[in-house]
Amino acid sequence: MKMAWLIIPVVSALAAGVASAQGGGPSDPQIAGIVVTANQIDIDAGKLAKSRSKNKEIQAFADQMITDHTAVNKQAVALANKLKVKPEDSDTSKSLKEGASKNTANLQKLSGAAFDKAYIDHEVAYHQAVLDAIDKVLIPGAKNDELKALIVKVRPAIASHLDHAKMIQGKVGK
Amino acid sequence: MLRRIGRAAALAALVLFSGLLLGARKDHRVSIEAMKYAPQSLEVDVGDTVTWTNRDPVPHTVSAGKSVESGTIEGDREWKYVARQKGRVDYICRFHPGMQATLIVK
Repeated sequence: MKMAWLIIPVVSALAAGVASAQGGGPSDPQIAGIVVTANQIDIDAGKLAKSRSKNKEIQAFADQMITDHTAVNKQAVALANKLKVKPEDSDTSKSLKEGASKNTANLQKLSGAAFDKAYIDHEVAYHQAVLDAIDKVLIPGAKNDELKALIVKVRPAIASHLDHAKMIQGKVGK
Repeated sequence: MLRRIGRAAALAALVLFSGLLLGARKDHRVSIEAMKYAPQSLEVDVGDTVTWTNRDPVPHTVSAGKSVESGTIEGDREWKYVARQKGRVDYICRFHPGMQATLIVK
């Protein structure tokens, strides 16, 4: 039940993005800011899991999150530089950061199986929320074709992370 | 004289045969895109070259134990493999469970 208040900020942040999209939507610099922030949050969570968890599957998943989200961010930053777009903060990126801080604070209090469960539960909710944001805010909202193409290219990786996290959640939760 | 002609003909035949053999070696391509290998199954002949191209923004591998191991293939990079042994190779991406495909060497 504790997870609910941790996941709500993420969902709210992305819902704010949807609302913003309906009211004209985030600009390309704001979308770039959301992409970079969303990736960085999961890299940081992965690093925390690597240092705290002793579960091999959680460790491997965390490794994969660090590798994949770092690779995506590298491409996002390279594209932003090429397009001369400076990633900007928005209500969505700020809320994502706040949600991440609360999640990190909660995870730092936990250890062992409780940590593993809280981490993977959050990863499932987070990737689902990011996937929804990609479909409802980021892809429809991106005005630059190359930025849109990058987000489209990233989507299958996020969907694959979600499936992988759900698979681990099924084992860790037992 | 006849011997010389015979030798020359044999040599010509050998050169032609080698050429045909070399010409028969084909290049094949496998795309890694949207977290899938395409085609999912590929049949090649011994001596053929297969090139995997990673079109995803995240790194992948082509891994089937010691016989086939690409190491990390970063986005927009490729890896070449010459099929030297007959058989079926079921390979996976070490980073992403669920990504799998097959190479059949005839």
